[in-house]
Amino acid sequence: MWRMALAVALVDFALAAILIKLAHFGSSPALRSLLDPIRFVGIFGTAVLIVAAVQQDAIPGMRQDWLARPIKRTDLLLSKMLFVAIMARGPIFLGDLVEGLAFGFSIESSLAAATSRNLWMFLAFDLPLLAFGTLTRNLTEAVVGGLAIMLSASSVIAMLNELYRGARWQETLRTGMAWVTQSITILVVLLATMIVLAFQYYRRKTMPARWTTGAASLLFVASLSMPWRPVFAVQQRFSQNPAVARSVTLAFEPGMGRFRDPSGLRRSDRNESEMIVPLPLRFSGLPDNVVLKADHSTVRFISVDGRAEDFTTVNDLEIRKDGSADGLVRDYHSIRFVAEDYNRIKDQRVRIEIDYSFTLLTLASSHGIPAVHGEQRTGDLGWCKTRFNSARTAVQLLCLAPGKMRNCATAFLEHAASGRRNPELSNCSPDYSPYWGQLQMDAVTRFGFGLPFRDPAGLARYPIDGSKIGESQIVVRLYKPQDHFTRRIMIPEIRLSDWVAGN
Amino acid sequence: MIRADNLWKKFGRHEALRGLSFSAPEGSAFALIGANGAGKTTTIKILMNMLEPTRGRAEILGVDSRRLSPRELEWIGYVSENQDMPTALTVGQYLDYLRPFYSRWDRDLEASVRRQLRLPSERRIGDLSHGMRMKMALACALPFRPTLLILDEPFSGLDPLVRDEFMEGLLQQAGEMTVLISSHELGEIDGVATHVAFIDEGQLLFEEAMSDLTGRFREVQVTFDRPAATPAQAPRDWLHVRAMGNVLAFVETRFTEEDLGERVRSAVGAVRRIDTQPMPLRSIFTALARSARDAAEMREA
Repeated sequence: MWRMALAVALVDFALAAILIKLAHFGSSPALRSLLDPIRFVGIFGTAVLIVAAVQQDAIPGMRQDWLARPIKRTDLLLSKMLFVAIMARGPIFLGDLVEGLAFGFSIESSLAAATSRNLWMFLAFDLPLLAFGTLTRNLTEAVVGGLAIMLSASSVIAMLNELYRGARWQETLRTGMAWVTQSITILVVLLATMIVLAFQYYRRKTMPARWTTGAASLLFVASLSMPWRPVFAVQQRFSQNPAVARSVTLAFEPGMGRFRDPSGLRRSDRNESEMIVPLPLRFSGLPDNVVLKADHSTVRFISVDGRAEDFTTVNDLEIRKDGSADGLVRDYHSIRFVAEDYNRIKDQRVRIEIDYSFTLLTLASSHGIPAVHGEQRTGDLGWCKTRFNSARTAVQLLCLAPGKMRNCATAFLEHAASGRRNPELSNCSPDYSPYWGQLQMDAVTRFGFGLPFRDPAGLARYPIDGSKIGESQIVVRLYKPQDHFTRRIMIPEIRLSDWVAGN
Repeated sequence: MIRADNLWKKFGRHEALRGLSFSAPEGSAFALIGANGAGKTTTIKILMNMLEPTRGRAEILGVDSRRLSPRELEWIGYVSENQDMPTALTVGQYLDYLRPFYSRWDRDLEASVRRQLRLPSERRIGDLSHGMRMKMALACALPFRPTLLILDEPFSGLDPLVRDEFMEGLLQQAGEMTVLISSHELGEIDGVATHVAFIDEGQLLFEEAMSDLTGRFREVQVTFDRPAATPAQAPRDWLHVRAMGNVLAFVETRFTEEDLGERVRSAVGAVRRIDTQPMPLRSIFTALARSARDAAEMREA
């Protein structure tokens, strides 16, 4: 056991060392290629270590010496948990802590990031594995059982994906509200873990414990399909500033005409399997310096004979309004359809109702970093660096921050002397969770942009090009969620084919 | 000390125990005897709460076996032929590990048992032979001076030398403890057991003090003046009745010196001579096992 624990710890330390070495733009391809394999070996090794530790005093069977010894079951269970916490989780915690400190973050923030990640991992990964280990006698059984559970769950998920066309049945997972679903799945897993551990350590009832595991696996998959409304209702209760979006309205704006790409080119994102229909919308009442994000929208088509059909989309509309704009913002909501669905209804005259679930994010902070060889440390962005990409057509910005980061930001290149700006880019995949920490692969969050300033094909011209890039800066704006609210628009009569993007 | 009351255990469709009841008095060396698959190990696993009975209950040290806790286990030594000990640890390491669990662990006794059983401290348990592992199990079961020692087929697969060493180790430390020993080898318990229970196909055939058992069993040979014939209705106490020339031989299971002659004559008439011979344990069990098997065959027929 000690050798195995040491080997796994070495893998964990190696991973931390590679992450430290790579830092922002670590350019060693060999190291970079090692990252994923080592991460996998580390996770697999930790899993094997946990299961092996449990199997030292296996529960199933009746030949184990410990069964005849005056060992308190609670003591045995606690000793296993302690082993997992110290020997399996400990080295990862240490690696995370050292990584944070090596990047120059304070001891408090490094400790908080390492503690948060590892606490979540302990609850959501280590303990369930420990419980799973109690169901098996040896590693062969554990591997076969683990594969059986994974294959069954994957089959059910694949079946649901097929049934619901893509991953729409798990729509909450691709939004900032994923934390609600994740919290429920973690609760399901933890509850099942507690039941299994109680069955095994206090009753030695392996069959009921195995049935519990099977049922929990199904419940886990089912909990991924949390319906949108209750999840959003929960999120609304956590709105920071529920009044801020009260005046926001939106309406269909047919006067904008059908969408035409500013480049004059045909849209290249059209493919055979899907169709995009950009509907023109007008937004009013938006405060200054905000991002309005449609986390979810349900598009309902009602035919003349009253038949209704719903299509759900997520994260496909993001409106930005900075202080310079007037009160109105016009933009297109590009609704993606499966081609088969589109072809069925494209020429029908239908009524459309769209129910939006919005989040309004307001500007939290703004930072300027030199575009070339810039380096800056800030409280909410962390440690950021800039550099050219290898083709020298874009500037790359990468920030490392301990723990959970505010990950809705926009960035643009700005030439302060002339006041010129390149188009603003957005990287907004927010996590609206109200609690400390999150389940993540690394204690240090990596966040960045690639901001183009030169088009090698010569088709696009940027206000800030290669000649001014040396005197320019990257302006990064961070946004924080303030309000979650719903709006509905109704379009009395429309034919989809009239609104497909033109050229 | 130990009591089994109408124990049933089913594994799928197979009934390993079928209403087994017996009780082992305090201070006894109680032998659970039966062929392989008779249900001895299942009974012991139920007593040790390693298995749950399908029906019935077992008591050990006055506690329902299902409620056996570390408090009782601190008084119970357990040695089994199929006992999985941590193979990666050495003999010494495992004894070091076990010591703190027993408040009455006697280190001098441990040293003495280890010396007597000649257990190498530095050897890994996984590298020990079967015989050495059994001795190791015994060395782990004696130093805390258990009041109850349970031995499940302890001699299985042991060569005579190891077996003798094992027995010496056991007998020297037995003292006042109650011993429950299961075996399918009668020779192993001869001279050790004070009480015996015979199990066949999950049922108890009999349970008795060893002295009573050997006292009431006799090999009887009845000599006639004429050729002997097997009686059509032999008394139920006679087992394995067979006729050979002028001699009728059987196993008497209710032997008393005083009334044997009268009982024989009332069953077979005039006889020339009656010879009786005490039976070794092995012969008693052979006769009983054969009788049980015949009865089962008749029931099936």
